[in-house]
Formats: sequence, structure tokens, C-alpha cells
Amino acid sequence: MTWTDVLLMLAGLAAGFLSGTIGIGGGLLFVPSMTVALRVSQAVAQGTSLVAIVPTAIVGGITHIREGNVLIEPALWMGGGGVVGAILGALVAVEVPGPVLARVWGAFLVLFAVRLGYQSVTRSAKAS
Amino acid sequence: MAIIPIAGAALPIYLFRTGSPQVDFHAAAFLILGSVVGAYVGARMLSRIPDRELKVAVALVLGVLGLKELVFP
Repeated sequence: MTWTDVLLMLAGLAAGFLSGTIGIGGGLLFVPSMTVALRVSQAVAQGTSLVAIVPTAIVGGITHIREGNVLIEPALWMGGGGVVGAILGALVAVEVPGPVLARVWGAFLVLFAVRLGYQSVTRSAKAS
Repeated sequence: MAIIPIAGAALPIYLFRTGSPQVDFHAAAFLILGSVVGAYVGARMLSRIPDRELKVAVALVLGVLGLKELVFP
């Protein structure tokens, strides 16, 4: 086991912890931890993140089904629509030059961060 | 649950579309190891976690990482 493996495991730990507490998906943390900390290319980081998401989601999903937390029909519709979008998105992602893909990803991350920060501040202001 | 077919559909394209697979299975294995443990710990600690502070901290970290990628890809 190398230090890189330890770093990856810590990134996974943080991503899993956040998905278990505030419901933020793994890819949002898997991808930047690989690109920024380990200098993995954007495309490989995204592909690897997809591999890591599937078993994690299966384990989490089975638990949630047992707890009665899954609306099967909306999940099927979202999954079905998402499959088409995912294929189109992946076809574009593997063709786009790495730095362009990284910039698009960075812009998405900034927008997501602003939305998350804004929501958590305004919701608590309303509650108090 | 919906993420499973979505990620599963995109994966073959990252694997087979270009000359070399755009996937690192070794890295994925260690990410999975950590995330399964993290998800379990997170779910157990759910009621004791300050939700708002954690979200603000995550927003700050993701914002900085996003800006870095945007400016220095």
C-alpha cells in the first residue's frame, strides 16, 4: 500500500461521510481529490469516480430500500432518463481536451458550492 | 438508486471509447474502501453533526477546488 492509496482511502472516507450526513454524492469529492491532490487527468478521474460510485450506491441503495426510503417509480424514470444523458455526456467528455473538461468541471463545482453555501445560510436565517 | 444505471451507462464509454481505458481500477478500489466506511460512520453520527456548519465548510472547500480547476486546469 502506498501513500497515494492512503490518500485515496481518506478521500473516499470523506466522500462517504458526507454522503451519509448531508447527502452530497461521491463524485463531487472523488473527482477533485484525484485531480487536485493526485494530479490524475480529468477524464481518468471521472471514469474512476464512476467505478467507485456503482458499488457504493448499490450498498447504500439496498439499505435504503430495506428502510423503505426509495420511491421505485421515480428512481426508474430518473435512472432511465439519466442513462441517455450519461451516454451523451460521456461521449462528449472523452473527446473534449483535458484542460477544457477541467475548466467546465471547475465552473460546475463553484456554482454548486455557491448554491450549497447560500442555501445553508438562508435556511438557518429563516429558522432563527 | 437512480445513479446506478446512470454511472453504469457512462462507464463503458470511459473504458472502451478511446485508445486506452480512462479508468484507474486500483484507485477506485481504495476510494470504495474509504467511502463504504465513511458512509457507515456518517449515517451513525447523523444526529450529532452540526448540519449547517458542515455544509458551509464543504461549500468553502468545493468552491476553492472549483476555482483552482477553473483558473489552473
